[in-house]
Amino acid sequence: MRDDDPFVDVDEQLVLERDDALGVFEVRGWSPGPAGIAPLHLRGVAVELDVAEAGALAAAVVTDPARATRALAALLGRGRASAVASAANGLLPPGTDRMSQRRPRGRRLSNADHPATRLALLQLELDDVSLAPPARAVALVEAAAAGLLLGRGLGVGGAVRHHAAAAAELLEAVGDDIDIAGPDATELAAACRAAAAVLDEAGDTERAGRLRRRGSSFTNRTRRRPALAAAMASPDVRPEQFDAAAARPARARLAAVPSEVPVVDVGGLPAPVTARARWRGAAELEVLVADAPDAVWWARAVREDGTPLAVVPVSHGRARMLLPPGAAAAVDVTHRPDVPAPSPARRATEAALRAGVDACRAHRAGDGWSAADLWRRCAVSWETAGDDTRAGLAAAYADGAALPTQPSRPFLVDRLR
Amino acid sequence: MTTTDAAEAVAAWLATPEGRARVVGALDRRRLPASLADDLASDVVVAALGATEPIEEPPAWATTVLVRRSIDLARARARRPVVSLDEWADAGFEAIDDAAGPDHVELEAPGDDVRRALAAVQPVAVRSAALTAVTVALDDPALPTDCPQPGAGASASDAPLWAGVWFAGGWDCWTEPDTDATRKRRSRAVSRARAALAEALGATS
Repeated sequence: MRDDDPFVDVDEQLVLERDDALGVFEVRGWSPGPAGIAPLHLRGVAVELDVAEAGALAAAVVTDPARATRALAALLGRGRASAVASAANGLLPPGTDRMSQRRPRGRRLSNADHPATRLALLQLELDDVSLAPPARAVALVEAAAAGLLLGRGLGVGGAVRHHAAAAAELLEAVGDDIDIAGPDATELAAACRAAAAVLDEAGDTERAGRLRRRGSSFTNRTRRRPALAAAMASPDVRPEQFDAAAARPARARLAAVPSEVPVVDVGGLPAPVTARARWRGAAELEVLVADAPDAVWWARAVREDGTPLAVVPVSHGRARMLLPPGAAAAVDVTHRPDVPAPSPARRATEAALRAGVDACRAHRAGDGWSAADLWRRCAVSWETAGDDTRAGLAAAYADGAALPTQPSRPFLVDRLR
Repeated sequence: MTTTDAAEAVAAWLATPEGRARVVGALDRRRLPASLADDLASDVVVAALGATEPIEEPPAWATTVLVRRSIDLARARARRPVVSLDEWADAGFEAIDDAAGPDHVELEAPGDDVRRALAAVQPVAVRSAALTAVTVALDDPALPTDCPQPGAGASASDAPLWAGVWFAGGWDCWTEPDTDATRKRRSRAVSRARAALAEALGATS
């Protein structure tokens, strides 16, 4: 990112908005699409990049005008940055202004492969608490390498050093669990060298050395045999491991037991877990939480209008609750029972964003079938949330009527997920 | 201003027409559906409860947080814990002081009105017991065989509350043999749940 070659194209329409009452001072561009935004914090500016149209600027919120000059110039170019500075210095009245535009000098390449876009998207991957340690380690290395390419003086140094240091520790902790070989392994080794350079520069030579050694161990590796077939043939896999209730003859079940089992939302938890529910009787629902840590969690059920029906503790991975017979309830597991359960619209929005991000990943990996399926789910969720515009765009992505813009090559972490 | 006072002031301001307009404005800024307004307002109140620095001007503070939280809403996987888990370590019946409540509660109000009135009861174990008691009293579901029922010498009208306390995790309120300490624990938990129900009924009448 340089002020003579700014991130945002000169012909891209931007709006500068200053609202003193709201405390808002921001430059707005592209309206965020169905996969939401990926944030990137530069010095004095919180940047929001669209995920589906990777690299498109959704907004740049100026958090500290005095320190934001360089980042704004690199992001918007000198001309637009000085307009923002004028507004910050009170030379422009509060309000909304279309920012001055110069005549375009020809279309520039997409920002999808720009290091800033890569860093923002990789940080979005790192936000996912369910990311397995080997994949997380690789994402950290890639994020550090992207941050190094972004250059100095933009205020990302702290985050990049953090990614590099965390990568060095985690790569060692996961040992040989990273299934990577061939060109991917070469790419990972190069990323490790870049991340090590970040640590060198920060004076952390010990971690840098470890990271380099770990990186070189990936070169010339061959991919391991998939373990699935071996696992299926293993005598350790027994029928009893599957749900015993499901295996029971149908006549043993009570006729009054509801046929629909609610999906259990675990999106608000601070740890990656999976959960499911099953009926133990006509009114008793059991929530089973896998990998629940030793913490005070609660399972709760609410009607669609938000009326609470039950809140019960999760003990040893199980929670049992009594519900009014026939009640349609949304069920979630939470560590914050004082906070109201998310509304159906919020659940739908979160599901839509997750599906959108996953669809983008499938696009990057070249898995068109999965991408279309995920966009379809994304569209349905946006429709449930009441956002027809995003639903329509997601449906267009699903049908191939429109194409999202993604980095030309998948991230290494995309291949490990 | 204490954290709780500040959070209440923030919640009160968010409920005003001005606060509501700011919530909708913050959503509109990110082109998010207006149906998320209650969630966004709730996020801001939770942030106020977890604030580590004093909140001098609740409207100004809430306005700033509204903008930040609306950005979070547009971001996949943004729902995150705001305070540590330790805060909820005392959510059980042990944290309750001895509470004097009515001896008997008749549930006559519509069930969902009572349930909504119970939504904010703390500690959460008491809310849990009271909500289950409402379901048992009004909907009469079949109780599981391992759920304790009042026997001879106990009031049959306590059955919903017993089920409530048991489903709320008060399993140590029933031991074999039934000792004085167990009975005292059970009586205290049942009384507390009954008191919460009485208060909820009072609020709905």
